[in-house]
Amino acid sequence: MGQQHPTASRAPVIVSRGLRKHFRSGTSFVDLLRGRLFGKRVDALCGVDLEVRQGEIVGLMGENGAGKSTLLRLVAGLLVPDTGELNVLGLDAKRTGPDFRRRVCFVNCDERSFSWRLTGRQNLVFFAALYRLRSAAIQGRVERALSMTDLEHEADRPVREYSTGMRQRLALARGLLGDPEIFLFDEPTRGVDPAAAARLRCFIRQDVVGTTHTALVATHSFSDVGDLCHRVVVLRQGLVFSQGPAARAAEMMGVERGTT
Amino acid sequence: MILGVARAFFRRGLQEALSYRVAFGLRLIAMAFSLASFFFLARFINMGHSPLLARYGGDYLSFGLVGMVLLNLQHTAVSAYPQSIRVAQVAGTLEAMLATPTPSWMVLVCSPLYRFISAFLWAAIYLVAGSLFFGVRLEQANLSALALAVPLTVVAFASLGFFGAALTMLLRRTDPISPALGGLSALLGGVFYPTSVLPGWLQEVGRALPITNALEMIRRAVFAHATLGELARPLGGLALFCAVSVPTGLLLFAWTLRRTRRDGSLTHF
Repeated sequence: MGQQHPTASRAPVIVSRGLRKHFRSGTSFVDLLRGRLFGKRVDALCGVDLEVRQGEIVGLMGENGAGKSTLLRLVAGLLVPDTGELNVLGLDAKRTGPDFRRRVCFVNCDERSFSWRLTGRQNLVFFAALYRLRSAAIQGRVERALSMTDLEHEADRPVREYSTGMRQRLALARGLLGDPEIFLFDEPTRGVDPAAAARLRCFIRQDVVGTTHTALVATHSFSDVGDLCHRVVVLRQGLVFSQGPAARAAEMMGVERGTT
Repeated sequence: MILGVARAFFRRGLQEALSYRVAFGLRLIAMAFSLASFFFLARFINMGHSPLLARYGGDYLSFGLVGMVLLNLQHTAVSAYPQSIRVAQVAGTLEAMLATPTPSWMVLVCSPLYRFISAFLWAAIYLVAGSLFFGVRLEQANLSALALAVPLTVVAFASLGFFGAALTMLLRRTDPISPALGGLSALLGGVFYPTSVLPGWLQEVGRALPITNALEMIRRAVFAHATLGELARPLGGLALFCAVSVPTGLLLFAWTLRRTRRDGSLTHF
């Protein structure tokens, strides 16, 4: 990919204005005795303005701690912003409900995010129930997700026997259970060897996101951005540092590196 | 909808338990050892013919077995929520579950379902095995009194679980209250001896614990065929405890959940 996507005329589906989020580090018992009720303040996002249009695939890049994962979790409704505006699919992301999470899918690519003693199929059946699918629909949806991720022949093996790449695909299969409008990927090819990562990107581009879904992809990989995304947004210290076509990702990150 | 989610959590817990096939057999063996120990301890204690036991049917094995079973149930109820949350935090499944359309509170409430149900099944297995192989007398039980006492006990114990869950989310530590509560219950709750052997003021302190009233009700209903009227005092005590602890526990749980979502600490470990 890498070329400008013809989405300019489409409506924005993710809009953030002045988005801020801070965290407090944990306090030890000794801190409490010293009268410190809260830990050190860490500003994760310091006023992010961002607009993503329907059908766009936008890469989020930046150094560790730049705010990529926090931004994804705010858009997913897993976190609540301190201040600022965050509108996703016309809904206020501060007041998310089941309907919001059905339309917005946070694809947790952490390979630990499954019950390792259960099989891939058992894990997906469990998550299908949490996606509030009717009992009659669960089996069909699970089979479809397994087939799309090319895991149907491995579905009855325990997840602990899967390779990292297979677990990433299982995470994608989980994301496909809900049929969302927006996908949020957090480092989808982390820990996967280059050949498997290329296949995974191809699969995400063609079968998961397609041409109608919108996606935000937080990644450190220029290959992810180059192969998947139409546009890249570089975050630095909780702010949008630069944004532009995916083809310029390396240049934009290079500029960032040169200044730090 | 909650039934579908509850069923999914129960099935997952069962599948995980079945993946540890040896554990079930080992637990049965442990149960046999534990029952046999109680049997011989009871034989020794019964030789003294303690008048304090007459109120509960006169047999120490029956008395001690119910005490142990209820102490285990309380431990499960109090620790199941914190352990489920903690395991999901460490295993990395919590965030994946919270990202689904199922409400957060439902995920957290249903997570320990298998532990709860299996704890009750094990309690029943203990009592039935005690009755079949060691002569624990269950046939005199007043079922109508038990029909009120057991659900009230479950609600009281579960409400303690909400406090445990809230503290786990706040402190990011596993099961912060269960060890202390277990020790206090064993000391003051009448688990291994009647509370009447305690000094008067300690008996009063013990009455504030839900297990004290629960044990009094269940033992007297099962072994002395006590009627609801005769159980009015412990019943009232437990009902009062539930009336205070259920709303307080739920409010604390809901407040902690909102707070962790705001500060992003629910999935931290």
